[in-house]
Amino acid sequence: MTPNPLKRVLMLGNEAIARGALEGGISYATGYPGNPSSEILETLFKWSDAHDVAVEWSVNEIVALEAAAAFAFSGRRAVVTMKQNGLNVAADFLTTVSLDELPGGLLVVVCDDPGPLTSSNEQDSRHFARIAQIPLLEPSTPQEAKDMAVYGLEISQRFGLPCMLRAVSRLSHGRGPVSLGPVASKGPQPRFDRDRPKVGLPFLVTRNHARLLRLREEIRAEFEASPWNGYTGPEGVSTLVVASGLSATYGLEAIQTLDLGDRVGLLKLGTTWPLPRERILERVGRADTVCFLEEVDPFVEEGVKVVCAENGDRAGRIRFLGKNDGFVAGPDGPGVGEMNTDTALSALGRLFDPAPVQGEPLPEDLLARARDLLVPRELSFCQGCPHRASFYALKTALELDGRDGFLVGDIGCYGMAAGTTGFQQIKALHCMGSGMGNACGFSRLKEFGFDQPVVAVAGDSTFFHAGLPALANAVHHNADAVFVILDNAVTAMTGFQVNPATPAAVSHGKRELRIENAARGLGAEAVVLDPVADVNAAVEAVLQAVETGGVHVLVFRHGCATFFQKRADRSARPRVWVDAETCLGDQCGCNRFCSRILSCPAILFDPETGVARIDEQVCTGCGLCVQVCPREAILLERSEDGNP
Amino acid sequence: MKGSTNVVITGVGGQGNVLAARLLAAVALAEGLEVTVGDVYGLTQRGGSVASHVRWTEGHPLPPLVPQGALDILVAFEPLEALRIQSQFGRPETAALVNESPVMPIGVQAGRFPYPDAAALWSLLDRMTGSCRRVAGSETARALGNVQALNTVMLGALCGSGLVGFEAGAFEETIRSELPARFVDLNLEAFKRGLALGGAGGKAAE
Ligand code: SF4
Ligand code: SF4
Repeated sequence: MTPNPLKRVLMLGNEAIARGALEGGISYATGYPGNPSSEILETLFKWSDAHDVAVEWSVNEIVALEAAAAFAFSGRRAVVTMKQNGLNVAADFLTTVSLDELPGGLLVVVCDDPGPLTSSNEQDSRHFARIAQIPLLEPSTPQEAKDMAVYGLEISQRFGLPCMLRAVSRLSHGRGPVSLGPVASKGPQPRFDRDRPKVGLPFLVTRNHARLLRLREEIRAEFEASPWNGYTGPEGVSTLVVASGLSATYGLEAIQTLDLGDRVGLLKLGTTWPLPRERILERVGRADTVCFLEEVDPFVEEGVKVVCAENGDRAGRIRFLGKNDGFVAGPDGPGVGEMNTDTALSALGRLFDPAPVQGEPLPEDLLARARDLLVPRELSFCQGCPHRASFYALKTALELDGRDGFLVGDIGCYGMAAGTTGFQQIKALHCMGSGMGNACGFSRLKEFGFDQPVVAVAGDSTFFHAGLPALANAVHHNADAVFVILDNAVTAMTGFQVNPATPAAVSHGKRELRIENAARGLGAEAVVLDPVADVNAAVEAVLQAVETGGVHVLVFRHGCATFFQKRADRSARPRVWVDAETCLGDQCGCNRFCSRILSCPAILFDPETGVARIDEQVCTGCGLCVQVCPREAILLERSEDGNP
Repeated sequence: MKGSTNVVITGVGGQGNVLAARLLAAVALAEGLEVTVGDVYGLTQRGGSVASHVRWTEGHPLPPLVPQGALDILVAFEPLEALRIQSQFGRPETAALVNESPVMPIGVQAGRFPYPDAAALWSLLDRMTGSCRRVAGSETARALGNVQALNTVMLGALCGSGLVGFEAGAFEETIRSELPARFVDLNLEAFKRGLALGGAGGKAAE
């Protein structure tokens, strides 16, 4: 394809990053799925054949980064993608590979989730660029995201170290016009030079570290002249906004909305580590008030303050306004939550007296009335979701056991089990696989008189991502631990990606690994059952596991309903209906168990008839409600061809 | 911001309103405008609220989200979601086009809370907007035999209302170029019926 540079196409920020990596000549793309980063690799998968790029969902982020580095060791270019939590997993390798001298190019794309919209923290990943001393790029539009990915690969290869591109949710999931460029060639036959400089041995580290810091200054010099940094506004104004990445667009919109274009200048920074010192001094040195817009932490704010402190004679007396003094703050406080135009408007508005005027807001009495009427749209497990059966079984077993048992877990669709849809069962939820590691410690707590049963849950993808070390640890230490692995065959939460537990038929021939085999191989007891097919057997299995010692792995295996329903033949679906004669409705004493407690989206309570009703359009025919109705009022009929 | 147009297309997961936003943005791009889209949704599961912010200007690229109190045009695939977005981003002058069919939140279905009373909801929407047009969108899509056609019915209504000032032909061109061939005819028909809804008092076309 020879793209026409004049024709602009609408692209998601993440698609633009993928396009940039492609144009930058990558041979390999790896990553681990996680919102908001997943679409980058999804997009590259689509282009992989046509452009001869190897693409893979790796088992976790550090493996993804290490695998990508092999291409850079051998003269090729590669990209690795992850969300902010994933960078923590990959950080161990990142902070050593930056001491290497890479003959190829390695672009590390990290998508942060300020707010957070879908994450268990709102970490600012930019700190890692500083820890690893690698160049950091922050795009403000999809076009820049694409162009920076190309540049990032190029600068990485030229300086021989990884380059980090940091996006945020609104950029990754925002769409804007992008003009495409040509796709670079992939470079020579890959070859690993056995005589290349040695790294990693302690006595070589100081030498390589010194080299890395020298490179940082060379990169800084390059960034001084970078087109990614720029000033908008009149000369000679005393108020300056310094904004990085997407925040530059918020700053610009706020300045224009408040009609401050002739009183405020904006210094946009796209290269934020190492900071372009001269470029900053040139603008900051002429201002007496400097206001910072960035997300999440005061990373640029503190960097600019250091630059000014080190160059006091050129910077002069400046009033700094940002997160550290609390001037720039969203509704949840400074340094918390997303940056947006509203926060920028509020900060800039307060700088000027009288405050510039905006339009009339909606009257407070109407807004109050709206708050009264607005009911939430809570998230819920899908109809037929296996997790509904699993958490119902876990809840029932722990109640029957009666010793105040609880669940610890981590992130994935099943993380919603901390909320109503999963009967509020998960009581600790942190990072990938964290429940399994926690369970090891709860077992040791017994030595100190702790007597509550603990069950750790993790998903199939999580099991291979982070669960294996915890399982080995539990077996090795003769722990009493129950691990319930919720094997729904795909990484559902982030868009149904394949993982080692995915059947080969779905993953197009990748080798399927069985969780139970891995567990048995590590010396744990492992049982496999289908919680949807027989929820009582699942209750029994959990009860038995918490009552006996040792390490138990219970694999609850049933495919993600939404993923497999899309591929299934609708006519083969079992028919499920409520026998209106048998259902007693509110007279039953079950407290509308099926609609209120089980809360499957396919079950409705019909106020007119006073009994439950199944929405047959929505029902997947999973049969869970049939098993748990105390009156046996819900009936199921399998179709002729039978559908398990 | 002066000189910018701010539209939110909102609905419930599974209604497909993100596609409507993409089509609208493609039309704006074809008109030579600087367009930005921001999709706002939580986790990928069904049942949550999904809103797409579509903004355009002739100047600098805009950030992906509409600032509070800056909403010009609201296209809602669901009445409760219309109220949610209008409360957050609306201003007294916002023009709204709202599909009449409610989609029950899971908590309503489960009996944990009630869906707002229809009369109260519509009268509040009337008072909170400059104009609020009720559109028989779902009804029209169902009559066409495909509920997913709600997307192009609502786009048609938006075009027919004259609020965005783009020609019907530009939308039709985009539907032809952006959608898979097998869906084009259905969506062109849906768009056409939508056009009539937008400009004909919101009643289903004959
Ligand atoms: S996507 Fe799959 S695993 Fe996730 S809630 Fe829906 S059915 Fe369950
Ligand atoms: S069988 Fe029952 S629990 Fe399963 S999807 Fe249908 S209504 Fe929901």
